[in-house]
Amino acid sequence: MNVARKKTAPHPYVRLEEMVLNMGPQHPSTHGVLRLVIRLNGELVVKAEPVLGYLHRGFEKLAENRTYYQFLSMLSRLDYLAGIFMEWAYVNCIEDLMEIEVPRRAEYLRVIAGELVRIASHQMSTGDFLLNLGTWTPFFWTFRDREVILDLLEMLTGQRMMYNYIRVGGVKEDIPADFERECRKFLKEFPAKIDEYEKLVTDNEIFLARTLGVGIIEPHEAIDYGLTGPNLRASGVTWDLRKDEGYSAYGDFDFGIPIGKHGDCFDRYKCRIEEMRQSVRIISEALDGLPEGPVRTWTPPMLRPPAGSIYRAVESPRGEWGNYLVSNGGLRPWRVKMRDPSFIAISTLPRILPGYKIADVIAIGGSMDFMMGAADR
Amino acid sequence: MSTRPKIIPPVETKAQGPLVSLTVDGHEVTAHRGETLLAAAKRVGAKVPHLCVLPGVDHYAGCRLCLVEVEGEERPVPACATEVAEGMAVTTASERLLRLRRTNLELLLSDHNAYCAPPCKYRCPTNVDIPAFISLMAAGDYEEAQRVLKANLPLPASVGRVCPHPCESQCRRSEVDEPISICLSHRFVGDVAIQKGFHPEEPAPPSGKRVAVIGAGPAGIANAYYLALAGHAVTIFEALPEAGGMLRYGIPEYRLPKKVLDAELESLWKMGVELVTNTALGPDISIDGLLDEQGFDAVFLGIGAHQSRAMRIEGEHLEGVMPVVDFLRETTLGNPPDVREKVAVIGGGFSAIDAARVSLRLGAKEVTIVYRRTQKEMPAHEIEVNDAREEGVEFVFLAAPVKVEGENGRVTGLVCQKMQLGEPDQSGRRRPEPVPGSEYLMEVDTVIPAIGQLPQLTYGAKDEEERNFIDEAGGIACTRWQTIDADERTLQTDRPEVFTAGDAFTGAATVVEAIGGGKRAAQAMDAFLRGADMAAWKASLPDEKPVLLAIPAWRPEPRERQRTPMLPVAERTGGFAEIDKGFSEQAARIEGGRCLKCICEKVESCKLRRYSIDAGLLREEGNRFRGPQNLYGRDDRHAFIVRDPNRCIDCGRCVRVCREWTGSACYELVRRGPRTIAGTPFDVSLDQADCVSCGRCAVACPTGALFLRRRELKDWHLEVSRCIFCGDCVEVCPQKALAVTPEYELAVFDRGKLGIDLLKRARGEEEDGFGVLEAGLAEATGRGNPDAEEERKQ
Amino acid sequence: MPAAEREGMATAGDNGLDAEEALARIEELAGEHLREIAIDDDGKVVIDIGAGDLRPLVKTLRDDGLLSYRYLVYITAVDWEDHMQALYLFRSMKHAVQLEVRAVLDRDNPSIPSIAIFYSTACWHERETYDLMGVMFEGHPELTRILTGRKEDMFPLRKDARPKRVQRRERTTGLPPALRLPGERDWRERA
Repeated sequence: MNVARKKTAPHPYVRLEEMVLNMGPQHPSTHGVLRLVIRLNGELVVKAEPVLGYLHRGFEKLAENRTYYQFLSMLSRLDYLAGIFMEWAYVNCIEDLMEIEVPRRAEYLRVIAGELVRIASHQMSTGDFLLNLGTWTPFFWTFRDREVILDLLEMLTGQRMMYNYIRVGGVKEDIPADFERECRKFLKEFPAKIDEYEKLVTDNEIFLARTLGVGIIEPHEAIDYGLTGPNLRASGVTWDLRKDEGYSAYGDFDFGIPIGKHGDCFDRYKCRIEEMRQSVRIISEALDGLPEGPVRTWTPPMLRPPAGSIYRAVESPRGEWGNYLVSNGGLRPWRVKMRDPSFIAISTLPRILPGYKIADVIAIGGSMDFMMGAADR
Repeated sequence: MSTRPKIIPPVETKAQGPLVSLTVDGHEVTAHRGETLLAAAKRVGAKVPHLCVLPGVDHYAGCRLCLVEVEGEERPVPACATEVAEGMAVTTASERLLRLRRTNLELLLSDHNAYCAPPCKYRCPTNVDIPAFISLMAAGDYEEAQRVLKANLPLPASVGRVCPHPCESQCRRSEVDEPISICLSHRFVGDVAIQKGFHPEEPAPPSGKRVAVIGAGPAGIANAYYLALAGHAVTIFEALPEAGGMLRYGIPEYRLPKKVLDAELESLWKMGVELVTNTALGPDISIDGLLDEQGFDAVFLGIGAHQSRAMRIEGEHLEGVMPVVDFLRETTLGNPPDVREKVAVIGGGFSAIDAARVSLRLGAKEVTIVYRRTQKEMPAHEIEVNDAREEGVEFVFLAAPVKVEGENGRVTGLVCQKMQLGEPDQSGRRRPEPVPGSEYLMEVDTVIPAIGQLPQLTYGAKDEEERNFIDEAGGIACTRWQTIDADERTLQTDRPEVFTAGDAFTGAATVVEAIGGGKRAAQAMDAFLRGADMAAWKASLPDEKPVLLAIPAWRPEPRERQRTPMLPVAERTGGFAEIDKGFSEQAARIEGGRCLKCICEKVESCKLRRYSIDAGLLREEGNRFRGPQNLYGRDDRHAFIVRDPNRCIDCGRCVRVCREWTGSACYELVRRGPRTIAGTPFDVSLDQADCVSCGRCAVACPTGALFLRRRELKDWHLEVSRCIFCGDCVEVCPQKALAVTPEYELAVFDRGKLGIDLLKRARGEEEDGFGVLEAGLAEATGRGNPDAEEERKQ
Repeated sequence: MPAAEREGMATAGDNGLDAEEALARIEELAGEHLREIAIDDDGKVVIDIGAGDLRPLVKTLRDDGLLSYRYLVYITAVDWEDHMQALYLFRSMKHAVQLEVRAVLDRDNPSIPSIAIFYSTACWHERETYDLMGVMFEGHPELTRILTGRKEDMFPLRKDARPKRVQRRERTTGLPPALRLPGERDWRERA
């Protein structure tokens, strides 16, 4: 089995014309409204240029005209598959600026919600990735199991997608009575499901042929490109904000971080699968050790953080999602800058894609798992 | 790079630190270290006044009212700022502390520039809401002004011409320049009401009860008016040919033109009140007859005081001696008595002056008023006396009649004796003592005794035996002053269905007092007719006497009273034309603008007032301090939060509650020194500050500096297409105006958090919003409104 | 970094550098380029520089073995109305001290050298900052708009940029009444 695929050279004596192909913005495989303008030499990609902005909604400008409390509801619309992390980073900024102490129970609940969202997001991205590669079954399987998680999240937060759960000072509400029972049921059954996906996909010859050795990113390249999350870890760099910064309650939990070897599409896929297993571990530990206490520190509704600036980042399923908040002491933020991992992931495409075939473009794009909602903001 | 202040979540620090034990006022109490003396005192039940404490936020210790004495400390310490310590011995009430508190309150009141309660309203026997109607009149809203007036005084135009206006004697404007012309103002409003034909109030639906009112004088008219408004069927029985009582038959035309009275009585007839004239109690009807045979459910006796007091001197029954009541009545009835040329009027009250001036108009050349004391002791107003003098009435003081000289049964002269003033008698006036040997003769043709009036409780023609119709009714007692005996508050006689008020109850008094009595009797009768337990009803009556505090007058620009155009003196005695023309519209509005509006919307809940009353700081005693006068205008630019910085005491509660509990920080203590006040930056409207209109500042304010205006929400609109159902609005609203319903189509689990049911109050599902704000504050912030909790505990 | 179990390959490394040491090292290496340097409450080193000093400073700090600031987290700008401020955040895989670089730029003509040659990721961050704030990055290979589709007329995130008034159209809710079943209501009409 070839592990490393060499980039093929153009043919010596057949005259080839270069074609400019426009992929997107409406395209089933671009994971959102991404437009890739690709210059093709036959099937080879010569140059690729992503064009962004089709989902640019002006969040950073919107933030300047809303009070801190108001803007919180809007944040889960950014990376809408993992909305809770956007709220988390933003709320961490405010809490650290105002030195508000978050109760321990709230931190645990944030972790539980976050990890559930992470599993759901990985299921979505894995299913979608495989769908783009041409298989239908894993897509349905992951989505079927994702529904259970969305039901759990609805039980916890009231929403399947736009959670609005994390508030300044804690979380919105305490868990309902039957949540723990349902969640444990899910946790018991889910690892078997992951095994099912792997059994179907991981050893599949076609899958391996399409993903092994495709889209290799060297570790120093990955750091230089600014990649984070599973994309970075697949390249072999041990970097996970949950461990390295230890924010929230992650220090209490015992979990591992999957690290890849080669940095190809297969490794990125495998990282995500393993992360799902680790998230199951985190959630069950959190449920076991859930402390008693309030779930929210009281804050006045018109928050007024003192003047200053702060940067806080969380480990979202796609990488490091950061929020840089500048406050001028007023009721509305002065500047909110959101640092998005998908934006960076897309920025690597012009460097990685040249030399691969058009089919590999789909594979690489799918494995990088970018979300246009976050990239465009 | 930046200092980050800590947010202290406003929760009570419970279970913090070890327990310490201390004594407060001799009682043992345990408290956690870190708690304040104020909290410890509360636990023991000791009442320590405090104005600037806001729970959960840093103390100010600015009002200095919570000072308590701690053994071992030389000076008293503020209880809100001092932490408990083991073995402390605290005293919360001692001579020194009470004096300190009193001084602090006096200082606070010295720059308060706003009054709690209107002294004029409470001095008025009918409790007309004077500040209200004067502001409405000044604003030009005459219809509403007359409605406010008629709620307490049914005949404003008539009474405005005759009332001796005791209200003006209490007017706080007199501390600045001259009191407001309240009487002329309500005369003006009454005249406008007649002229423009404003509708009277709609009476309540018929109750099925019938009431007989005996006497169509001021008391009877007022009684009938208010009973008819309450829905009862009223019939007035009047002995004289027309309604009005003393208003018609005792007050001359030049003071009260009868067509004004007739026009005002129209409102009574429009409400369906029946009038039966020429029907006297005794000869024609009896109380038993009314109650038993004619089926009335209650009877009101407003028979007035129409019997003149006799002089008890020789010659009293000669022709030419006419008691003042008869004199004035006959004149009004159209049979003016023949006064010839010289008239002597005995007495010093209003009736005497009226009789004298009427005599002039009837053709007398010389009219003399003989009074046994001096002008200072005369019951009549100085204005009346001056008016009489201008018209040519002569006054003889310190003289009393001893004998009426007559010839052929006709008066020829009056023998008077000079008097001198001796010791004061029971009314406080100096008793006149005759000077022996000082009799002299006055040549007069007519003598009009006007030395007092009594209720006429007997009837019978001159030659028949006198029968007391009151006794006959059985059970109705009379006092030794020849008035009907009844309960002070309920005006109910010993016979339960019979009530009385006015001159018949009090003795001869003023028209306005009779109206006030008639109105109160109507309220009592209404309760009686509805079957209420009169003892319980009496106990539930509010205390009528307000407490006025020692607030020094704030001094606007002095502006004189507006004067009214009067008939020139030369034209007066020629006939009975009205002398005082009353205000023009412009003058009335200017006069209304002079009113200091001594009302405060928060008079019931003001803590400053309560503490001041407890400390005994009453108006009568005056305030020792007078600071620089900081006068501010009222800020009512916001839709319902009204700011009146005159009343601000700089306690800082609004500042802190807005900053800590809401976060908007709209208020600051601005300016310095004695000019410090709580206000918005640059005095912008709250709308332009970061206000979110939660109303917490108004609830937290211990005085009336911030209060909520009553408002009615008429319309609201929700842009459903933009709602994301996040539920944030429900969570932050302190008024709990928004709630969450479980009706959201995608909700699988019954969390009830996704649908929004907006503005329950707009649908009328909740009552008045102010109670809701207090409850909402409790829920929204996890603990009750601190003042309400205190009230409940106390 | 907090101690925690790690599975997989060697960690990114922890040479135990703390904030004071990092500050000393930076001063030692690049002191002449700095205007101000301090440690803020968050534990990161904050440097204020002039625009011209950016490139030499960044190159030095990136290539130093001990500091090794190889990871650029973001480039952004803040409009302070009388001046503009460019912000850079660097991370190192070797230690836990983050580095924030600030430069004050002229508000009318904000301009700063590009560091796209040192960090590949800077390319798009600078494009975004140019697009939203109008900061010119000298030496950037291709400074074009990335998120908005505009030409050079307006930079949306500046404080003086106001959106145009949009004419609202009448909104139709759901199915036209003729197509609804009896009794059916559009969910938006519930209120």
